[in-house]
Amino acid sequence: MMALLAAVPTLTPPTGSDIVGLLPEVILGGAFVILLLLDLITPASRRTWLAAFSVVAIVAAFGTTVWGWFDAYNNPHVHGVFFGAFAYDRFGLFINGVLLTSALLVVVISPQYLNRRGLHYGEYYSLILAATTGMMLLAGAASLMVIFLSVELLSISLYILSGFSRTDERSQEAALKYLLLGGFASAFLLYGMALVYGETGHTQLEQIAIAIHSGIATVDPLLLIGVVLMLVGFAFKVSAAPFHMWTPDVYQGAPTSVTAFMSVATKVAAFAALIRVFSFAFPDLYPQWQTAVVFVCILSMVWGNLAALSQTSLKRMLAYSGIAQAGYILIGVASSPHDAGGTIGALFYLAAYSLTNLGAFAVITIMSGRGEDLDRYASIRGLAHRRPYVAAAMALFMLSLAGFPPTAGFFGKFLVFSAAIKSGLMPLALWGIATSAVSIFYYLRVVLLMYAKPDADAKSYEWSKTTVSGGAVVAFTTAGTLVFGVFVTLLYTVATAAQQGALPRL
Amino acid sequence: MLDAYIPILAFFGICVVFAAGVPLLSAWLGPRKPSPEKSMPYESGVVPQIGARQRFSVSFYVTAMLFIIFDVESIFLFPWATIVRQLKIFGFVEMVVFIATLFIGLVYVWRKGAFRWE
Repeated sequence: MMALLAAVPTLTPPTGSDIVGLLPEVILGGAFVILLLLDLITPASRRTWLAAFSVVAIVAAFGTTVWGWFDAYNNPHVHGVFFGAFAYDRFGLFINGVLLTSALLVVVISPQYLNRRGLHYGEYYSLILAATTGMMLLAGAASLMVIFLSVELLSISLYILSGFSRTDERSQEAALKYLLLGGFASAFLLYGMALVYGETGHTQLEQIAIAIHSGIATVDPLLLIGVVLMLVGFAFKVSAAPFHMWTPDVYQGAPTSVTAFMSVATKVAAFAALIRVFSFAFPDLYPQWQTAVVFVCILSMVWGNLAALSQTSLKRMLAYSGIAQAGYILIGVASSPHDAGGTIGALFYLAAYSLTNLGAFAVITIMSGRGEDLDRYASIRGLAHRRPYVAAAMALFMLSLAGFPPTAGFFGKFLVFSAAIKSGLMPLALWGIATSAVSIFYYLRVVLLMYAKPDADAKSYEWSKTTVSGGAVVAFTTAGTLVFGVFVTLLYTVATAAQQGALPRL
Repeated sequence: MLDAYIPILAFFGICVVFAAGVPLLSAWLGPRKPSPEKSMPYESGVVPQIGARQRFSVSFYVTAMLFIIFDVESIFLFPWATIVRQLKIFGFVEMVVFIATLFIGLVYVWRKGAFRWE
């Protein structure tokens, strides 16, 4: 009996600095629970209040993130909080900033869209907050356990959100498909983690890196299989080919505001974890995993861009474009251990892509008709003649996604391509440039359609009126795309600081 | 290095052979005298009233899920209860947070009408 009692480990309460390091996540997670209860006492006609509450919570979390940006810098010796399970560093906080901005913009465009589609339930906001909390935890996760838990938190919220349109078969199909394939991806991720843990004896990224670096863990097939399986899990989450099969159907079936959210936020969070694990925990295995990443990268760029050419739905086209963009960001990942510019480029690209892609989806969201999304190519024909400002913004987003200067998208591509060239991955840069040239075709097609003369005999589409909230989101994303494209150093400096502050440091 | 796992490999092999072999053996050796009664679905000896492929009320699933949630809660509670004194005040606070979270979930599903059976 005494031996049994003696085996109980002592629990250590979290210290003040642990809580401070996790403050944005704690605020958002708390707001999620409170929102669930507020929904019970809010009358159905007043659900916009719940959106307002979410906005307040997101702004509070953003405020603490900005404060943490300076606090983490002043305490450079902090090697992660909660015994190193969570990294309190500028890298994670940069990603937090991008995620919170995306969540804020999505919450602002949502109430109107949901009302129009007849989907305005309070759970929507709770789930958005829960998913954002999971993504922020993923961005800062420095332990395999935390990575897995946060992947599950964000995935489960998104499974429900993608099936949020309960009477729409497409939405149901999207949710089921995403749930089943997401389950497979989680299994791959978990199996990879188990093998890596088995070989190195640690779940914390810093300890894993040390174990591999010092030769305690031998580089044998099992460890490499573990690394590759983890890559498969992450590649699914960032929708990189050949693990992208779910993307077009889920993006098309899910309500547009949800698609807007998950197309950018999931990608940003999963890329943050991918970069942290691969370039900061497995830098010594770079020669081994580089081949796998290069393969996934080229395949995503080629497949995504070619498949996007033949689409006739804006949402599907943007889904394939998202697969291609994942390929471009992977160029940054592939060159990151050689050249710091790779990580910086990937971070810059992620921020630019979130603003641009969110803007494009915001345009589809605010135009959507009653009960249906007007996302066919035919339905945007002649948009510029009736909605000159919205069409101009959409044209700018398309140019940014294609990588034209002076937009943020151009410099994202420029940074990752130059990092690839600097680290000796010239073929990767050439593939990137060649496939971007292809992508110009389908991005410009949307622009041409919007500026074409509307067919006289075509049925006139009932585009919704642009409201203040929708207009504000489009204006914000337009401004962001332009400002980061003209004053590049603004974002570049912040991304550089994020790269330099990243944990674990060896 | 992987030599120690050879028995497990052998075990897998035996499993596959056994699982595949028994149905084959039974199909080969067993007598077959089909009759309409024999091909009816088995419902503990009672003659089935209606087809088995019909929809069930979603309430069953909700009840089952709620049961699982609180079942798991009690699984956590029992080992915690045996060592609660050694975990001191922090262990107690942790469990309060856990139960409070579950309680909020309970309030939520209650107000959403998950317990109404109609």
